[in-house]
Amino acid sequence: MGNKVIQVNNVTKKFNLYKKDLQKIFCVLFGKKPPEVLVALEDVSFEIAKGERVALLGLMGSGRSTLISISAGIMYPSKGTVKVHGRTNAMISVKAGLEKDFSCRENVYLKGNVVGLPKEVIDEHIDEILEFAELEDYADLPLKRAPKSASSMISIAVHVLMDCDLLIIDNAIKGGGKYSKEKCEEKLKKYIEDHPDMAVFVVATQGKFVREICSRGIVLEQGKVTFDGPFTDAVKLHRELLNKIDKGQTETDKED
Amino acid sequence: MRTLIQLIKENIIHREQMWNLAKAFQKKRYKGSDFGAMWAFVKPTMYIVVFYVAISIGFKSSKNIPGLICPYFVWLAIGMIAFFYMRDMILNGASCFRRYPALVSKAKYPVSTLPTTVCTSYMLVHFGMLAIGFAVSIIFGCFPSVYWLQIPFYMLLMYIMSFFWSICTGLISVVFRDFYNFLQVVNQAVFWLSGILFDINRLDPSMQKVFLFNPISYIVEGYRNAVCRHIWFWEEPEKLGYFMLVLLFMAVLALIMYKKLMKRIPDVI
Repeated sequence: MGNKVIQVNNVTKKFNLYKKDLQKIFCVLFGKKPPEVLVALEDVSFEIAKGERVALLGLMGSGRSTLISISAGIMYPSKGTVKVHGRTNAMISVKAGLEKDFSCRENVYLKGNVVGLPKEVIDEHIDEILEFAELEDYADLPLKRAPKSASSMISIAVHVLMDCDLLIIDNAIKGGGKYSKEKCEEKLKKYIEDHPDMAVFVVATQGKFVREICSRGIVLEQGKVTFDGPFTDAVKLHRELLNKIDKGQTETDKED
Repeated sequence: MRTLIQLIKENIIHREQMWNLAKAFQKKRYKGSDFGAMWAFVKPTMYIVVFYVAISIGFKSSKNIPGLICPYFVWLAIGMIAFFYMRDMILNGASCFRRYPALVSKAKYPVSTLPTTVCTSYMLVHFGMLAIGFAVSIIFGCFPSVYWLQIPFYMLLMYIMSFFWSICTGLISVVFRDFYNFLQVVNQAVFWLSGILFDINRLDPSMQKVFLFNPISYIVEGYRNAVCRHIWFWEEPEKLGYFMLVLLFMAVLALIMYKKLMKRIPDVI
C-alpha cells in the first residue's frame, strides 16, 4: 500500500443498453447478453498518493464522471478493482440530500446526514455554516425561497467539516453568481490547505481553482487514460484535443 | 447468508443516517400543510369509520364473528391498522430506491439502508395509529391484557416482511418501471383479498388455506387475535409455519436479487 490513498487497477466500465425495460429485466435476471454495450472506461489504472492533488481532464463523454463515481465508490467497475485506503469525501452533486421545501437550517442537517456527519458536529457549526452561506435571514425559510447559490454554499460548508483521506470533487460549485463561486472556491482551497495529507481528485471544470491546487493531470480520451503527468502538460494536451474538435467542426461546417 | 450479514451490518453501522432520513421522509410528506403530521392519522381513521358504517350499518354483515371478545368496530380497526402499514409498504417499499436517485447515483450514501429507511418511516405512523387503536379498544370496553404483548412480535414479523419486500420490489422497479404501475393495480386487489373486511375463519377450510399463503392475512389476523380474540400465536402453529415459509421464500428471493442487482442500480436509476 505505501502512502497510496487510492489505487485504480485496470478498471473497465461497460453500460448495457436496452431498447425496452422488459428486455433489461430479462437479461439482468437470467444473465443474457445485452443487445448493445457502451464502453465508458477501458483498462484505466492510476494511483494517487497522500497529499497529491490530481486533476481529471477530458472532453464531454470521455468517461470523466463515470471514473469519478467509481473512484468515490458510488458506481462499481465491470472489471478491475478500486482500493481506497481511508475515508472518502465525495462532492459530486450539490443537491443530493437537499429538500427544497425544507428550511435552510433543516437542509444543513439533511446534508450533514447524507455526508455522514453526526448531528452534534452540525449543532456545533450551524451558525458558522449559515453565516458562510449568507443565509442568516433565510435560515427558517424554505430552501426554494433562498438565493440560487444556497445549495452549493450549504453543500460545501457541510462537506468541509468532514475529516477524510481522499477528497473527490465533481460539479461541487454550481448555481449562483461569480461572487458565490469564488467564495466556495476559497472555502475549498482553505480546506485543502488545512489538510496537507489529504489526496484530492478533481474534475477540471473549475479552471482557475484547479490550476491553483493541482500539480498532476490525468487526461481521459474515449474512456482511456492517454496522459498522466504534470498538470501543465495535461492542460496542453487537453487544449490540443479541444482545438482538434474545433477544427473538425469548422471543416464540417465548410463542407455543409 | 453472507449477503444478509452484510446488509444487517451496514444497517447497524449507518443506523443514525437511516433514522434521520426516515424522520425527514415523514416530515416531507406533510411539509407546508398547517396540520402537518396529523393527516397521517386522520386519513386512515376516517377510512376505518367509513368502512365500519358501510359494512356494519349499510350491509349489516358485521355480526356473528366467532370468538370475538370485543365489538366489531375494534376488530375492524385493529386489523385495518395493521393492514394500512402493509398497504403503504407495498407501494412505498417498491419506490425506496427510485425516491432517492441522487443518493443512489450521486452521493456516497449507504444505499443498503434505503429499504430500512422507508420501513422505519412508516413504522412511526404505525405506532401512532396503534395508539389510536388501543384507545378505541379501551373506549369500547376491551381492556389491555397479557395477550396484547404479542403485538410487538407481529410488528417485528411485519417489519421484516416489509424489509425483504422493499429490497425485492425496490430493485425490480428501478430496472423495470412498469412494475410500479403493476403494483398499484395489485394493491387494490390485496385489500379485498386479505380478510381485512371479513373473518377468514368463517370461510371454507380450503379457501382458508389459500388465505394462509397471503402473509398480510396472517399479520392482520395476528393483531386481531392478540386484541380481540385472546389467542396466543403458538396456539396456531400451522398458520405460523405457513407464514414463516412465505417469509423465508421472500428473504431468499430478496437476497438473491440484492446480490444480482444492487451493483447495477447506480447505472440505471
